[in-house]
Amino acid sequence: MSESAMLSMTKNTGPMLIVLSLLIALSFVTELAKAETLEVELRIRDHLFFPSTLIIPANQKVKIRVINEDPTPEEFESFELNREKVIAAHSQTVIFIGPLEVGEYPFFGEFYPKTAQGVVVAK
Amino acid sequence: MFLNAVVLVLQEILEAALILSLLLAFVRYLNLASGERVLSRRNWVVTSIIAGVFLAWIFSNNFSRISNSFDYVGLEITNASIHSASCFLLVLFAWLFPVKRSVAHLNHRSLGLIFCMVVVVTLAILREGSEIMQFGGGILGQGQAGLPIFYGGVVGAGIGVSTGVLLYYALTGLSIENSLKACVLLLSLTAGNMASQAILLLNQADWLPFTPTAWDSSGLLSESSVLGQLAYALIGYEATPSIMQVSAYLLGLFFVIISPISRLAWSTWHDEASQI
Repeated sequence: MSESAMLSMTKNTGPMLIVLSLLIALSFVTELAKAETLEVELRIRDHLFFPSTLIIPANQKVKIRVINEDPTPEEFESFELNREKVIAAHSQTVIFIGPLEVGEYPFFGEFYPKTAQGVVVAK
Repeated sequence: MFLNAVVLVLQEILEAALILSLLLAFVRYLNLASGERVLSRRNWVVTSIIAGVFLAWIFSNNFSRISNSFDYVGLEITNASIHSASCFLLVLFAWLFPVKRSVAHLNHRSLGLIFCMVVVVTLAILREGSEIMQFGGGILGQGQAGLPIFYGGVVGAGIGVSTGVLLYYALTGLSIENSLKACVLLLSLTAGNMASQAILLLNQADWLPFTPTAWDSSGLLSESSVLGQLAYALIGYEATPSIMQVSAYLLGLFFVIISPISRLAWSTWHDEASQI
């Protein structure tokens, strides 16, 4: 009984150690990546995006801080960026994008798509 | 604003309606194949709709708190958890689905099946309903003339539900063998979709590392087109998925494909049918 328990323990410690060390490595990598992440600001006012053209460096992860100044919620949406997120009225949120190849990536506010239009330009 | 509300509500209702139709088609198959009304009680549908709407309401009322948690990525984490749970339950549903005829076997499994279906539909309504409530609540709260938006929502919901009904009749209009094949295929694609969405949300939250885009089919089928939207709601179509998303999708697909019900669907059905 105890022998089999011992056996199963020795069997399991190998993979567990690997998983543990991978997790530790991953957390270091993500911490490192977080420290280097560039942050840009995007404001929503009167169902418009400011700035409507968001210029960011290509091939680099970017943190967009979206600040909604309107009394209504809005949804940041972009098919090109594969992003979709609701931002409550009078509040802010964070959306990570990239690393992006050089190019233009349109986005819009799904709740007010007629006016809320913008584009991310990766240079 | 009218058209805007139609499109928005339609998108949200569609996903939940399609999942519900798929599960109802499975129930119909089971009742037909076993010759008994194993899951005859429709209560589970009502239960899940009420639970889903109630949870969506709670979610909406705590929206800011959820959104601000985890350093402003609380929404992604919550939704990724909901998608992961849905994926797991769809796979579990496939594995629990009875392939033997014995009444004991069917009764034994029916409770598990109902549990899976109730939770999957509840989570789908929670996911989609909370977004509609955000949209609707924001507009009503502002005191605008909300009537066109309300009508738009009703029209959108109507089209969404109709599409769901259409799918149900499309699935059940086939012969029983083909119906099972189509249901299993759709179930596997839905499980894959849920897994892929969970990965996408964790990418957006920066909880998972970036992986390159697997392909770009936006020229072939744009995500913003009507067909693209339908494919997105039905099977989680994305024009530019990441490699990690595609891997998760295939994994979800795989776990349903290797389930007993899937093997039954693609085996020489007539031989197996006598054993059901």
